[in-house]
Amino acid sequence: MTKTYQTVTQMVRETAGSDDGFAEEFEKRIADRTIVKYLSILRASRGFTQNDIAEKFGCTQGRISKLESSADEDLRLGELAQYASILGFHVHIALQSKNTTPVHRVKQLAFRIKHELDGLAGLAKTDHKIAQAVSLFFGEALFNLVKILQDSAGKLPRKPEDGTPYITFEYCQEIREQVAHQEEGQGESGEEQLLAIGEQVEPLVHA
Amino acid sequence: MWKLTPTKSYGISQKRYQKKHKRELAAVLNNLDTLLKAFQAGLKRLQATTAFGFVHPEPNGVVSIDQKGGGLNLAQTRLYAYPDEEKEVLYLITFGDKPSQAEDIKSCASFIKALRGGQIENYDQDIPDRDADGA
Repeated sequence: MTKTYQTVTQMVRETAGSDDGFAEEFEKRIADRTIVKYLSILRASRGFTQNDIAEKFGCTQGRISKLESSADEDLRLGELAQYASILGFHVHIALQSKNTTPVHRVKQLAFRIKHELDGLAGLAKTDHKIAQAVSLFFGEALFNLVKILQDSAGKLPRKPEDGTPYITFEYCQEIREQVAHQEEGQGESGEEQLLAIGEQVEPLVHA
Repeated sequence: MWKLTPTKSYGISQKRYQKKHKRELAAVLNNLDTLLKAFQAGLKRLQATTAFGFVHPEPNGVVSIDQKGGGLNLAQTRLYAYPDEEKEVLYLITFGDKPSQAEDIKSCASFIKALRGGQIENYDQDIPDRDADGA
Protein backbone atom coordinates (compact mmCIF):
# COMPACT_ATOMS: atom_id res chain seq x y z
CA MET A 1 0.00 0.00 0.00
CA THR A 2 2.56 2.55 -1.04
CA LYS A 3 0.94 4.25 -4.02
CA THR A 4 -0.30 7.75 -3.26
CA TYR A 5 -2.20 10.24 -5.40
CA GLN A 6 -2.42 14.01 -5.27
CA THR A 7 -5.97 14.22 -6.63
CA VAL A 8 -9.00 12.00 -7.13
CA THR A 9 -8.86 12.51 -10.90
CA GLN A 10 -5.24 11.33 -10.93
CA MET A 11 -6.22 8.22 -8.97
CA VAL A 12 -9.15 7.49 -11.28
CA ARG A 13 -7.03 8.07 -14.40
CA GLU A 14 -4.38 5.64 -13.16
CA THR A 15 -6.65 2.95 -11.75
CA ALA A 16 -9.87 2.90 -13.78
CA GLY A 17 -8.37 1.85 -17.11
CA SER A 18 -9.54 3.28 -20.41
CA ASP A 19 -11.88 0.54 -21.64
CA ASP A 20 -15.24 1.99 -20.68
CA GLY A 21 -14.45 5.72 -20.72
CA PHE A 22 -15.16 6.02 -16.99
CA ALA A 23 -12.01 8.05 -16.25
CA GLU A 24 -12.71 10.54 -19.08
CA GLU A 25 -16.34 10.99 -18.03
CA PHE A 26 -15.28 11.45 -14.43
CA GLU A 27 -12.66 14.09 -15.30
CA LYS A 28 -15.30 16.00 -17.25
CA ARG A 29 -17.71 15.76 -14.33
CA ILE A 30 -15.12 17.29 -11.99
CA ALA A 31 -14.14 19.99 -14.50
CA ASP A 32 -17.82 20.91 -14.97
CA ARG A 33 -18.22 21.55 -11.24
CA THR A 34 -15.19 23.70 -10.39
CA ILE A 35 -17.14 26.78 -9.24
CA VAL A 36 -19.95 25.08 -7.33
CA LYS A 37 -17.42 22.85 -5.60
CA TYR A 38 -15.36 25.86 -4.65
CA LEU A 39 -18.45 27.55 -3.20
CA SER A 40 -19.31 24.55 -1.02
CA ILE A 41 -15.71 24.27 0.21
CA LEU A 42 -15.66 27.98 1.01
CA ARG A 43 -18.94 27.60 2.89
CA ALA A 44 -17.63 24.64 4.87
CA SER A 45 -14.33 26.33 5.71
CA ARG A 46 -16.25 29.37 7.00
CA GLY A 47 -18.25 27.07 9.30
CA PHE A 48 -21.61 27.53 7.53
CA THR A 49 -24.05 24.69 6.97
CA GLN A 50 -26.38 24.52 3.97
CA ASN A 51 -29.19 25.48 6.36
CA ASP A 52 -27.34 28.67 7.36
CA ILE A 53 -26.97 29.68 3.72
CA ALA A 54 -30.59 28.76 2.95
CA GLU A 55 -31.80 30.95 5.79
CA LYS A 56 -29.88 33.96 4.46
CA PHE A 57 -30.87 33.15 0.89
CA GLY A 58 -34.51 32.87 1.91
CA CYS A 59 -34.91 29.41 0.41
CA THR A 60 -34.90 25.78 1.49
CA GLN A 61 -31.80 23.75 2.37
CA GLY A 62 -32.74 21.46 -0.50
CA ARG A 63 -32.27 24.30 -2.97
CA ILE A 64 -28.77 25.02 -1.65
CA SER A 65 -27.97 21.31 -1.82
CA LYS A 66 -29.17 21.26 -5.43
CA LEU A 67 -27.12 24.35 -6.25
CA GLU A 68 -23.97 22.83 -4.76
CA SER A 69 -24.40 19.58 -6.66
CA SER A 70 -25.29 21.16 -9.98
CA ALA A 71 -22.90 21.84 -12.84
CA ASP A 72 -21.28 25.28 -13.20
CA GLU A 73 -23.28 25.97 -16.36
CA ASP A 74 -26.54 25.68 -14.38
CA LEU A 75 -25.42 28.29 -11.84
CA ARG A 76 -27.08 31.68 -12.31
CA LEU A 77 -24.94 34.78 -11.93
CA GLY A 78 -27.35 36.26 -9.37
CA GLU A 79 -27.18 33.11 -7.23
CA LEU A 80 -23.40 33.12 -7.41
CA ALA A 81 -23.22 36.77 -6.33
CA GLN A 82 -25.70 36.24 -3.48
CA TYR A 83 -23.98 33.07 -2.26
CA ALA A 84 -20.58 34.79 -2.37
CA SER A 85 -21.93 37.84 -0.57
CA ILE A 86 -23.28 35.67 2.28
CA LEU A 87 -19.77 34.25 2.69
CA GLY A 88 -18.31 37.78 2.67
CA PHE A 89 -16.99 37.83 -0.90
CA HIS A 90 -17.44 39.93 -4.00
CA VAL A 91 -17.58 38.25 -7.40
CA HIS A 92 -15.03 39.37 -9.96
CA ILE A 93 -15.48 38.14 -13.50
CA ALA A 94 -12.49 37.97 -15.77
CA LEU A 95 -12.77 37.16 -19.44
CA GLN A 96 -9.52 35.83 -20.74
CA SER A 97 -8.58 34.96 -24.28
CA LYS A 98 -8.14 31.24 -24.86
CA ASN A 99 -4.72 32.09 -26.27
CA THR A 100 -3.51 33.83 -23.11
CA THR A 101 -0.08 32.58 -22.14
CA PRO A 102 1.25 32.20 -18.59
CA VAL A 103 3.51 35.22 -19.25
CA HIS A 104 0.45 37.33 -20.15
CA ARG A 105 -1.32 36.19 -17.02
CA VAL A 106 1.64 37.16 -14.84
CA LYS A 107 1.75 40.57 -16.54
CA GLN A 108 -1.98 41.09 -15.96
CA LEU A 109 -1.55 40.24 -12.29
CA ALA A 110 1.43 42.61 -12.08
CA PHE A 111 -0.73 45.45 -13.47
CA ARG A 112 -3.41 44.56 -10.95
CA ILE A 113 -0.86 44.68 -8.14
CA LYS A 114 0.38 48.07 -9.37
CA HIS A 115 -3.21 49.38 -9.44
CA GLU A 116 -3.77 48.23 -5.85
CA LEU A 117 -0.44 49.64 -4.65
CA ASP A 118 -1.28 53.00 -6.27
CA GLY A 119 -4.59 52.86 -4.42
CA LEU A 120 -2.76 52.32 -1.14
CA ALA A 121 -0.36 55.19 -1.86
CA GLY A 122 -3.40 57.37 -2.65
CA LEU A 123 -4.85 56.64 0.81
CA ALA A 124 -2.03 58.55 2.43
CA LYS A 125 -2.78 61.93 0.78
CA THR A 126 -1.12 64.29 3.27
CA ASP A 127 -1.32 62.01 6.30
CA HIS A 128 2.24 61.11 7.25
CA LYS A 129 1.20 58.37 9.67
CA ILE A 130 -0.61 56.52 6.87
CA ALA A 131 2.29 57.23 4.51
CA GLN A 132 4.66 55.60 6.99
CA ALA A 133 2.42 52.55 7.44
CA VAL A 134 1.99 52.17 3.66
CA SER A 135 5.73 52.48 3.09
CA LEU A 136 6.32 49.71 5.64
CA PHE A 137 3.83 47.56 3.76
CA PHE A 138 5.60 48.32 0.47
CA GLY A 139 8.80 47.00 2.05
CA GLU A 140 6.99 43.82 3.11
CA ALA A 141 5.44 43.48 -0.35
CA LEU A 142 8.84 43.75 -2.00
CA PHE A 143 10.23 41.15 0.39
CA ASN A 144 7.37 38.80 -0.41
CA LEU A 145 7.58 39.31 -4.17
CA VAL A 146 11.30 38.57 -4.13
CA LYS A 147 10.61 35.50 -2.01
CA ILE A 148 8.03 34.30 -4.53
CA LEU A 149 10.49 34.82 -7.39
CA GLN A 150 13.26 33.05 -5.46
CA ASP A 151 10.94 30.11 -4.85
CA SER A 152 9.85 29.83 -8.50
CA ALA A 153 13.39 30.31 -9.81
CA GLY A 154 14.48 27.52 -7.47
CA LYS A 155 12.22 25.14 -9.41
CA LEU A 156 14.14 25.76 -12.65
CA PRO A 157 16.72 23.17 -13.68
CA ARG A 158 20.36 24.09 -13.13
CA LYS A 159 22.72 25.01 -15.96
CA PRO A 160 24.03 21.79 -17.51
CA GLU A 161 27.59 23.09 -17.87
CA ASP A 162 28.33 23.96 -14.26
CA GLY A 163 25.18 23.21 -12.21
CA THR A 164 24.70 26.83 -11.18
CA PRO A 165 21.25 28.47 -11.21
CA TYR A 166 20.15 30.46 -14.27
CA ILE A 167 19.04 33.34 -12.07
CA THR A 168 19.21 34.31 -8.42
CA PHE A 169 17.57 37.12 -6.48
CA GLU A 170 19.11 38.95 -3.56
CA TYR A 171 17.61 41.52 -1.24
CA CYS A 172 19.35 44.88 -1.13
CA GLN A 173 20.84 45.82 2.21
CA GLU A 174 18.10 48.37 2.94
CA ILE A 175 15.29 45.82 2.58
CA ARG A 176 17.18 43.27 4.66
CA GLU A 177 17.57 45.82 7.43
CA GLN A 178 13.95 46.91 7.20
CA VAL A 179 12.65 43.35 7.35
CA ALA A 180 15.01 42.45 10.20
CA HIS A 181 13.83 45.52 12.07
CA GLN A 182 10.17 44.55 11.55
CA GLU A 183 10.84 40.97 12.61
CA GLU A 184 12.40 42.22 15.85
CA GLY A 185 9.44 44.47 16.48
CA GLN A 186 6.66 42.06 15.56
CA GLY A 187 8.21 38.63 16.12
CA GLU A 188 7.07 37.57 12.65
CA SER A 189 9.18 35.64 10.19
CA GLY A 190 9.16 36.50 6.50
CA GLU A 191 7.38 33.19 5.89
CA GLU A 192 4.55 34.17 8.22
CA GLN A 193 4.21 37.55 6.54
CA LEU A 194 4.03 35.85 3.18
CA LEU A 195 1.27 33.58 4.48
CA ALA A 196 -0.58 36.51 5.97
CA ILE A 197 -0.69 38.20 2.60
CA GLY A 198 -1.45 34.94 0.79
CA GLU A 199 -4.49 34.38 3.00
CA GLN A 200 -6.16 37.44 1.52
CA VAL A 201 -5.98 36.01 -1.96
CA GLU A 202 -8.27 32.96 -1.67
CA PRO A 203 -7.23 31.31 -4.94
CA LEU A 204 -9.67 29.05 -6.75
CA VAL A 205 -9.19 25.42 -5.85
CA HIS A 206 -7.57 23.74 -8.80
CA ALA A 207 -8.84 20.41 -9.96
CA MET B 1 -0.46 18.87 0.94
CA TRP B 2 -3.06 16.13 1.43
CA LYS B 3 -2.61 12.88 -0.46
CA LEU B 4 -4.81 9.88 -1.15
CA THR B 5 -3.63 6.40 -0.24
CA PRO B 6 -5.98 3.63 -1.34
CA THR B 7 -5.73 0.18 0.22
CA LYS B 8 -5.76 -2.92 -1.92
CA SER B 9 -9.30 -3.73 -0.71
CA TYR B 10 -10.38 -0.28 -1.81
CA GLY B 11 -8.89 -0.82 -5.27
CA ILE B 12 -10.76 -4.11 -5.65
CA SER B 13 -14.06 -2.65 -4.52
CA GLN B 14 -13.63 0.37 -6.83
CA LYS B 15 -13.20 -2.01 -9.78
CA ARG B 16 -16.32 -3.90 -8.76
CA TYR B 17 -18.36 -0.70 -8.59
CA GLN B 18 -16.95 0.47 -11.90
CA LYS B 19 -18.27 -2.71 -13.44
CA LYS B 20 -21.73 -2.80 -11.87
CA HIS B 21 -22.57 0.56 -10.27
CA LYS B 22 -20.85 3.19 -12.37
CA ARG B 23 -23.19 6.07 -11.50
CA GLU B 24 -22.88 5.45 -7.77
CA LEU B 25 -19.09 5.23 -8.07
CA ALA B 26 -18.90 8.52 -9.98
CA ALA B 27 -21.15 10.24 -7.41
CA VAL B 28 -19.12 9.03 -4.44
CA LEU B 29 -15.78 9.88 -6.08
CA ASN B 30 -17.07 13.36 -6.89
CA ASN B 31 -17.87 13.83 -3.19
CA LEU B 32 -14.46 12.42 -2.28
CA ASP B 33 -12.92 15.05 -4.58
CA THR B 34 -14.82 17.80 -2.71
CA LEU B 35 -13.71 16.43 0.66
CA LEU B 36 -10.06 16.17 -0.38
CA LYS B 37 -10.11 19.74 -1.71
CA ALA B 38 -11.75 20.90 1.51
CA PHE B 39 -8.97 19.26 3.52
CA GLN B 40 -6.45 20.98 1.25
CA ALA B 41 -8.19 24.26 2.10
CA GLY B 42 -7.68 23.57 5.81
CA LEU B 43 -11.00 21.98 6.84
CA LYS B 44 -10.84 19.55 9.77
CA ARG B 45 -12.52 16.14 9.90
CA LEU B 46 -15.12 17.20 12.46
CA GLN B 47 -16.00 20.31 10.47
CA ALA B 48 -16.41 18.19 7.36
CA THR B 49 -18.93 15.90 9.04
CA THR B 50 -21.15 18.85 9.94
CA ALA B 51 -20.63 20.98 6.82
CA PHE B 52 -21.17 18.32 4.14
CA GLY B 53 -24.28 16.17 4.13
CA PHE B 54 -22.44 13.41 2.28
CA VAL B 55 -19.78 12.90 5.01
CA HIS B 56 -20.69 10.77 8.04
CA PRO B 57 -18.69 10.14 11.21
CA GLU B 58 -17.86 6.48 11.87
CA PRO B 59 -16.03 4.86 14.82
CA ASN B 60 -12.27 5.41 15.33
CA GLY B 61 -12.07 8.67 13.36
CA VAL B 62 -13.14 7.01 10.12
CA VAL B 63 -15.54 8.91 7.86
CA SER B 64 -17.89 7.52 5.26
CA ILE B 65 -18.69 9.39 2.08
CA ASP B 66 -21.99 8.66 0.36
CA GLN B 67 -23.49 9.25 -3.10
CA LYS B 68 -25.69 12.28 -2.22
CA GLY B 69 -25.92 14.94 -4.90
CA GLY B 70 -24.98 12.49 -7.62
CA GLY B 71 -28.37 12.21 -9.29
CA LEU B 72 -31.70 10.45 -8.96
CA ASN B 73 -32.33 6.84 -7.96
CA LEU B 74 -28.81 6.00 -6.88
CA ALA B 75 -28.34 3.05 -4.55
CA GLN B 76 -26.98 3.88 -1.12
CA THR B 77 -23.21 3.56 -1.38
CA ARG B 78 -20.45 4.47 1.04
CA LEU B 79 -16.73 4.90 0.74
CA TYR B 80 -14.93 4.47 4.05
CA ALA B 81 -11.86 6.62 4.56
CA TYR B 82 -9.55 7.61 7.37
CA PRO B 83 -8.14 11.14 7.38
CA ASP B 84 -4.77 11.21 9.14
CA GLU B 85 -4.74 14.94 9.91
CA GLU B 86 -1.17 14.95 11.21
CA LYS B 87 0.38 13.34 8.11
CA GLU B 88 -2.24 14.81 5.76
CA VAL B 89 -3.05 11.42 4.26
CA LEU B 90 -6.56 10.31 3.39
CA TYR B 91 -6.57 6.51 3.47
CA LEU B 92 -9.28 4.93 1.34
CA ILE B 93 -10.29 1.75 3.11
CA THR B 94 -13.21 0.20 1.24
CA PHE B 95 -16.43 0.76 -0.70
CA GLY B 96 -19.73 -0.72 0.32
CA ASP B 97 -23.51 -0.63 0.25
CA LYS B 98 -26.19 -0.94 2.90
CA PRO B 99 -26.05 -4.78 3.24
CA SER B 100 -22.27 -4.75 3.61
CA GLN B 101 -22.24 -1.90 6.16
CA ALA B 102 -21.49 -4.03 9.26
CA GLU B 103 -18.71 -5.88 7.45
CA ASP B 104 -17.25 -2.63 6.09
CA ILE B 105 -17.11 -1.10 9.57
CA LYS B 106 -15.28 -4.23 10.78
CA SER B 107 -12.75 -3.78 7.94
CA CYS B 108 -12.27 -0.17 9.03
CA ALA B 109 -11.60 -1.29 12.60
CA SER B 110 -8.94 -3.76 11.49
CA PHE B 111 -7.39 -1.10 9.23
CA ILE B 112 -7.18 1.37 12.13
CA LYS B 113 -5.68 -1.34 14.34
CA ALA B 114 -2.98 -1.98 11.72
CA LEU B 115 -2.37 1.75 11.25
CA ARG B 116 -2.00 2.40 14.96
CA GLY B 117 0.16 -0.70 15.38
CA GLY B 118 2.57 0.49 12.68
CA GLN B 119 1.64 -2.46 10.45
CA ILE B 120 0.02 -0.51 7.68
CA GLU B 121 2.48 -1.48 4.95
CA ASN B 122 1.51 -5.13 5.36
CA TYR B 123 -2.16 -4.45 6.06
CA ASP B 124 -3.72 -5.97 2.96
CA GLN B 125 -0.86 -7.87 1.33
CA ASP B 126 -2.63 -11.20 1.78
CA ILE B 127 -5.79 -10.12 -0.03
CA PRO B 128 -6.05 -11.68 -3.50
CA ASP B 129 -5.78 -9.23 -6.42
CA ARG B 130 -9.31 -10.02 -7.62
CA ASP B 131 -12.58 -10.52 -5.77
CA ALA B 132 -14.97 -13.45 -6.17
CA ASP B 133 -16.64 -11.72 -9.17
CA GLY B 134 -13.32 -11.43 -10.94
CA ALA B 135 -13.36 -7.63 -10.63
